[in-house]
Amino acid sequence: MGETGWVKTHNKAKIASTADEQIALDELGAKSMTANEVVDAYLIDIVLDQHNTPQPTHYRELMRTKGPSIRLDLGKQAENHT
Amino acid sequence: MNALQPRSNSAPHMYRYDAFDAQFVRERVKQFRSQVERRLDGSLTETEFKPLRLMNGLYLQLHAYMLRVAIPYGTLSAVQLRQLAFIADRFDKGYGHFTTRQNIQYNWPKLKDVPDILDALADVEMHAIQTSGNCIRNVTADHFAGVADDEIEDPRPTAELLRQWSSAHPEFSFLPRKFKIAVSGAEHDRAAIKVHDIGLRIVKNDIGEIGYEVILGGGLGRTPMIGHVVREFLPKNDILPYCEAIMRVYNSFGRRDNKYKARVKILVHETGLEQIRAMVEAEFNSLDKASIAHDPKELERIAAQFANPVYDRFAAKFNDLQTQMDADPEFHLFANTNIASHKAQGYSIITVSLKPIGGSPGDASAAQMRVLSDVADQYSHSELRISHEQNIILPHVRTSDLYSVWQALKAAGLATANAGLITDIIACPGMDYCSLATARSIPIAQAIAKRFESAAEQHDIGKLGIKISGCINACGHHHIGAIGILGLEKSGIESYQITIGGDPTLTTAIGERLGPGFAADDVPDAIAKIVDVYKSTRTDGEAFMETYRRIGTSPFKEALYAAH
Amino acid sequence: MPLINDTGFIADSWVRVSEESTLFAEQIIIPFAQFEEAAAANIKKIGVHVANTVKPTELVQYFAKLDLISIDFPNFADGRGLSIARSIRKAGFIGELRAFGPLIADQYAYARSCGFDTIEVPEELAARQPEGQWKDAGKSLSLSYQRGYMHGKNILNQRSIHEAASRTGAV
Repeated sequence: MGETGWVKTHNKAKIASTADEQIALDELGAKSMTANEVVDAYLIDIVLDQHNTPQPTHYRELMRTKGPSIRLDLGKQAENHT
Repeated sequence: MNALQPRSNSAPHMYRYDAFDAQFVRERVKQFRSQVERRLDGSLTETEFKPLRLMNGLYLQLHAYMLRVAIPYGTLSAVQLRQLAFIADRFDKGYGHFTTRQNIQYNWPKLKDVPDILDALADVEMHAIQTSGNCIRNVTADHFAGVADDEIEDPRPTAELLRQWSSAHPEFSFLPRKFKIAVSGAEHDRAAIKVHDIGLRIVKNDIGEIGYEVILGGGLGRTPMIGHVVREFLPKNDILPYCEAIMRVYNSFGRRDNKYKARVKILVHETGLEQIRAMVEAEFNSLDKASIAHDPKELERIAAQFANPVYDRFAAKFNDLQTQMDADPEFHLFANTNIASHKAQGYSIITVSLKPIGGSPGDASAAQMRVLSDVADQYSHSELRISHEQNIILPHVRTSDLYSVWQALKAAGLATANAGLITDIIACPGMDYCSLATARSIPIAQAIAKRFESAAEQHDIGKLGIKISGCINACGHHHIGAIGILGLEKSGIESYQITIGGDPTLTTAIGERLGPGFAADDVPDAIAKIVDVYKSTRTDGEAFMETYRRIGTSPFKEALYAAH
Repeated sequence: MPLINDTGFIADSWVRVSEESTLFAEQIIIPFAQFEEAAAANIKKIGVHVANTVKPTELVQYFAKLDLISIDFPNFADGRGLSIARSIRKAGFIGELRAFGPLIADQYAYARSCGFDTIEVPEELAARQPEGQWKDAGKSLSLSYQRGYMHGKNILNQRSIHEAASRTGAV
């Protein structure tokens, strides 16, 4: 979920820093699921890298932002693959 | 004088849909098309849609949807494989993944394309029906069915009868959990029937009648269990009523309070075998069998379509194989591992390994699928098989053609000479694709294969099955690998537990855990240490499993964990 | 709650009586535990509602006195009720069999095959899945592979008929 709606990459995602913000984001996700805008929405743990871009801390979510580690030509990482 | 049998483009000797089968599958596709539309217009919630899509093989994975297509009992025609290649190119990313349950998975389909893919499958008498969901899954069988030299009866007619019987079953499509059936008709079990919910073994009784030994309650996953014989001899014609009785007992009493305890193996374990047998037999005896059983002619109709091709009597005259092997060391290696004996003289079975060193186990590109289709057309009566070891089988090859087939395979990168060896690794897709996974599997398989890349070393080590699962659900069958590897998450990183001594055959055994898990990078070293123990302890000609049974786990534990 | 049969959404002539209620109408569905009480009262038609854990054999002795059996479906993914229906039909019950709960339209044909006549679903579900969807779903699979079930044209029987016909035709 980005500023203006759902986005396809994690680097523009909205960030919750407090428990209240988490609840708000969770509710937004639940609403979008009910409204059929997305299939599965949930919060993930992130850290901010040196460019202030959120990066998932868990290796599963990191994998999700990229693609299969054994096929760099597939998934989101494919755009940077030559 | 008999005319020579045509060798190329002959019709495959397998079950062909009649008008009913064809109509059924088309209606099922149409039904799913409308279910997708009703999901999109909100008539169906995601909760409601999920079991419907799963019952058509459609998962939501880490990066995209995944479509699992059934290859019933592993039998495939060249035409069908060519269509699978077409689908891979047209709707996916140019490849497919063959699984441990005789299915093929596409990892990148778009939801909107899925009904069209199902129509494309129906064009070649295929489907994705019940490849997932809490229903009776794709029925699997021995991949050497019909050609094995140790066979009592071809298991595929039974498997096909059960495929039909289980399709869109009105009573058993909302079971407590998934339900898997495997059929074997040979002395050796190549279908892992003791780790299935129902394993059927075709047997002969004292008076020479053919029937089934029924094994119930096996399974892998979180709680691996070996199945129990619930009926020693079931007359052939009772198979459908007996299965109905088992399924009704399971549907009524299987646990629904905890999905990890919902498989029939837990019901059998908690209720006790004697009690379950009594319940099944009571239900079975209460049935009006005549109204449920198949007409024996129906099984004959099915069996007739699996009748072997007419083999060339003169093929047996070929006796130059040894000369060809001696002349070409590379072919020699291939022949040692990837060729099995055929029941017809002068014919052989080829295993085409989908485990090239450094590749993803079970993956085949569309181009490779087309090559295999062409080879099957030219040399194997247009027929192929998919094994639960994630390899492809060419079942009817003249021994005199082996060398030519090998050359054709080699040109396509499909001649890896490692069937049954340490680099013929079974691996689930793991976290590279699967949203259930707790760790990756494929990179581990690749690292181990690279470690044992040397053909000489692989052949020296001999028969040794490594099986890797990326989570406790055990799709990679790690419990029954001679060496099993289970990927878990430990404090935020991937950790791999190693088990030893698993056995998928009739002497089924669940592997024993050697100790704490290893980091991904340390797994190849750990495997090497296990192999070293074997090599330094084996007696002449002793295979890994034989040495293991003789010396037990201690020496292996010591090698892995003793302080140095 | 909305009631569905082969003709679509229909009016319900039965009244459900809860455990607390003492109001007995002419045609009532009561919890199975209250059957004896209702049988003693002078009620024209009695139906009972049973949980999906009921043993079908326990119901058999009451078949003659029951015009309807309603089987609970706590959620659509719990298929126990389908086996109960099949067992009840197998044991010879000829009255109305009703599925009660949030079954979805896609299950209509399965429910009919196992012996149900009617399905009573929550309002919310009927609003999302109107009559047309139930009618379509009932017809979506016109063929079935299982012998002994009650819905759809049976493929195995059809093949036997064809086989017999071709045999006599050939003689």
